[in-house]
Amino acid sequence: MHRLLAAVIACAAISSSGCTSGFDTESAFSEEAYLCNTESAAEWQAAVDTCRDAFERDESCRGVVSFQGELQGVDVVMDATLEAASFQNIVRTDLTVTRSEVSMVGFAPYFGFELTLDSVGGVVPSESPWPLVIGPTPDRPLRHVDAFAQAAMRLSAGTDSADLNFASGTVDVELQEVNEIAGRFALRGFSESNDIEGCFHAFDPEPEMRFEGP
Amino acid sequence: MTWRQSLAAALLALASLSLARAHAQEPLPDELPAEESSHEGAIEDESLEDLLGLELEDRMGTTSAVSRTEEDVLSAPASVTTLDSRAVRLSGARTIPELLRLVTGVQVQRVAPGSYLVAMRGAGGITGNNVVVMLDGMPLNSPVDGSIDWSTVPIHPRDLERVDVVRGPVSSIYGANAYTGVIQLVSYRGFGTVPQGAVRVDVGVDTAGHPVTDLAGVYSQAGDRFQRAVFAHASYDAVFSDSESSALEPRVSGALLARLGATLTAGQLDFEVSGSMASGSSLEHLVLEDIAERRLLGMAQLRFTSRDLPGALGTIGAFARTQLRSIQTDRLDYLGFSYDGTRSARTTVGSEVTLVPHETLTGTFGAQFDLDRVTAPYIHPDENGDFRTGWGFYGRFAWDPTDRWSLTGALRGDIPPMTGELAFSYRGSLVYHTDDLAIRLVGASAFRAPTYVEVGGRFVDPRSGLILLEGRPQLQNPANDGGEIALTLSPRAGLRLGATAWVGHMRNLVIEDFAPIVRRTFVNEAGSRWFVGGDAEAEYKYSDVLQLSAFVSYTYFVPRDAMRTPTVGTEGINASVLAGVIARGALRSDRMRYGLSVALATGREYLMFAGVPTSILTESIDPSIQLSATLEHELGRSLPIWLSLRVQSNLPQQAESPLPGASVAGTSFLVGVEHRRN
Repeated sequence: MHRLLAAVIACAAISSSGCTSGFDTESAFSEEAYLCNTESAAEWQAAVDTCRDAFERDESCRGVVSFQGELQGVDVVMDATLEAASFQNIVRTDLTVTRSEVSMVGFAPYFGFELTLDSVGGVVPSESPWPLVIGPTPDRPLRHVDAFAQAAMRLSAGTDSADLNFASGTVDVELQEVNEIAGRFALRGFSESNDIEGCFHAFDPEPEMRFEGP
Repeated sequence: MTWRQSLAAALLALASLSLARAHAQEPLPDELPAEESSHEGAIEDESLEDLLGLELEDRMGTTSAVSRTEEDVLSAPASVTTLDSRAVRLSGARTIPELLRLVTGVQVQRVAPGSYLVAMRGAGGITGNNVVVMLDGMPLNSPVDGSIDWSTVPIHPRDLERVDVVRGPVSSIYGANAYTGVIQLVSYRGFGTVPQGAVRVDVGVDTAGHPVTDLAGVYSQAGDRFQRAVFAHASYDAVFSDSESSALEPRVSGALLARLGATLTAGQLDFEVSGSMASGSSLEHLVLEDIAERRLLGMAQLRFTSRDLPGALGTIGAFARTQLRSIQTDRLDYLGFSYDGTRSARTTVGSEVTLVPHETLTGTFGAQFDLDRVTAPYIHPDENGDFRTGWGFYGRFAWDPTDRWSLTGALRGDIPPMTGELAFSYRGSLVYHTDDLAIRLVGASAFRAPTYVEVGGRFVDPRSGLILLEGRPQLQNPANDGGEIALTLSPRAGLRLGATAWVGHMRNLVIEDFAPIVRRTFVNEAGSRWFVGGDAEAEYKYSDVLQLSAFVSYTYFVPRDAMRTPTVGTEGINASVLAGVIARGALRSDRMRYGLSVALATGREYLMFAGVPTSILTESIDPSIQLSATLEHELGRSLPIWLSLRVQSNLPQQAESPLPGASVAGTSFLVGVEHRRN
């Protein structure tokens, strides 16, 4: 009690400087970093390397992702390690391997997310750039070799969830291995309230292998 | 079982009423107990013969609740209803909210045993921070969220001297959270130099046969120079789940309140200190398990008011007070949300001076300084436990240019500790009154400071580490502007009629913005909301044997698109009606007293934001009736022991809240023994 009274007197005397008045907190997004620009290249690479080491050691890290922009009308910035990543690879009739789907699961400060890229395509393994355009692609046999892909994000917080389907944008795949994929993306939703850009690097120790049907 | 007991209560009420009529012409009591003797502020204790010779102004008495200055109720610049100690005792209420159901325009929702939401003028719903509640001038509102924890109010209703309920925006007098009204509780004041004391025990059962117990003791002595009083009470209620299949944590509460006063040459010095605790089930929050939760409240106040000073200087007053709160549960791994781990302290110092430049003009100027410290696991870690300062400064005047006219004005600026933003509130009133009529015109504004949770909360899911809800420091103060016109008249001796029509305009209402799950936070609702309503009151003192009063209140809010605000209702049910009838009187030379009351509330519906993560529920509350009957009988003047019977029934017998610990109020029967020494 005497401490409180002392504080009263002190604060009355120097209230403008000694005590706070009002909250000045910022959202948890301010504690996150966007690691996909040139200035953060070293930091991003360090995060990838750290994750790779953990993945090779005990698979405790499944990748890293960072993005910024607007989701559901809210400005977001985040960097996160992935809790899970899964690939679906397709063995074609000529025994080449291509990639069908990539799913990355992580947590931002306020929500969990699952970023899914479908109809990725490209040759696995390959270090050649594989640019993709987000857009509707008819379900046809060549969907894994054309330059179109689909992207979606499932958001969840507690018992609530929301599905975002991106209507346009690009995904530039920079690295494809059987157990690994890396790239950058710029995705826009059907409304202006969903518009993000970012980069990812994911590992899957046991990708699903599926044989292309006749 | 239920309807039989309700029927029994109704029969008892009818029997008591018949008894009252049969004794309507009994002689007036030749001696009133000391606690009922006439004193400043009392309005109910005069006998009929006294009333015949009094003007309406005198019959209505005085109040300090409206302007924090003693003034006539008739010319006070707001609607005010006063209950004196006898009305309180005969209400049969075991809690203050039960008592408030019998006051015009007060909406009461029983959330859980011992936990209530009290609202006025449309500000219902799940928010419990729309009124300021004071005990002997000490605010009971929590610094954390402005709400009232009724279970830790450190005085039993039967030990109250009076209750003043002021309806309408009064932030210009009381600062933040006097948004829709103020409830002022005054502890019992002893009179005369002879020590007075009382010890009482009430025991009973509720509908299902669960035990109910109240214990209380009072000691009071008022000398020429020193005054002292001590109040103690304890209550026990068994609480069962709605299914009645399992016992929950019992509700146990206790409190000690001590008041010391000294009449000095320079003025009056008062010191008051209290400590109270309540233990019950955490189910009344959003914890999904039955866990014992303890709440502690400590308050202290030192207040000095000078005697009338010479010249234009009227009086000088100063006060210092502090409030400490703590909420704790036994376990940390419960499921859901509670206020577990909350510790708050608010210390306030202030001073004011009253000037009387002319016999018709009074001005009051003052300032106060608040220091808050809140620590809680749900406050943003960067600012958890910080000391925060707040300020308030005000001026008000009352001018009576003639005997018939009164003009008042008040302006106040506040910087609440949790926002640091300056907010102004005002009030102006014009009153015309004659010997048996008064007309009042009032315009006023008020605001509510956003809570610590709304501006600085951060709820983290311990399992996922996700932030499920976060405060927003940029929130603006919700505001309520209102106006009212009121008429009070007394067409004949003993009869008083009153009617008030009011309009309220609420803006910047804080709503939880859960549409984006990317970040759930609070926002100010765009646009504003309009409310209109009216109150009608009647009071008739037929004799000391029978005094009748009745009220009806109507509230309507203008529906808007996207009803997301928890207020008076939803688009489907956008109006509410409250009504009540109270009869009481004294028989056998005041050795037998009775009180009967019925309070009704129409059905309500709210959009309720519940849970963490929060989801939006539609909360429907059925129409409710509270029936009460009280009978007290003194065994003899030489044997000052009072026997009492109290019956209260709540219909329909179902919970008034969807919260898991709501339980049913039901019907309770209590018999009591009280020994009074005076």
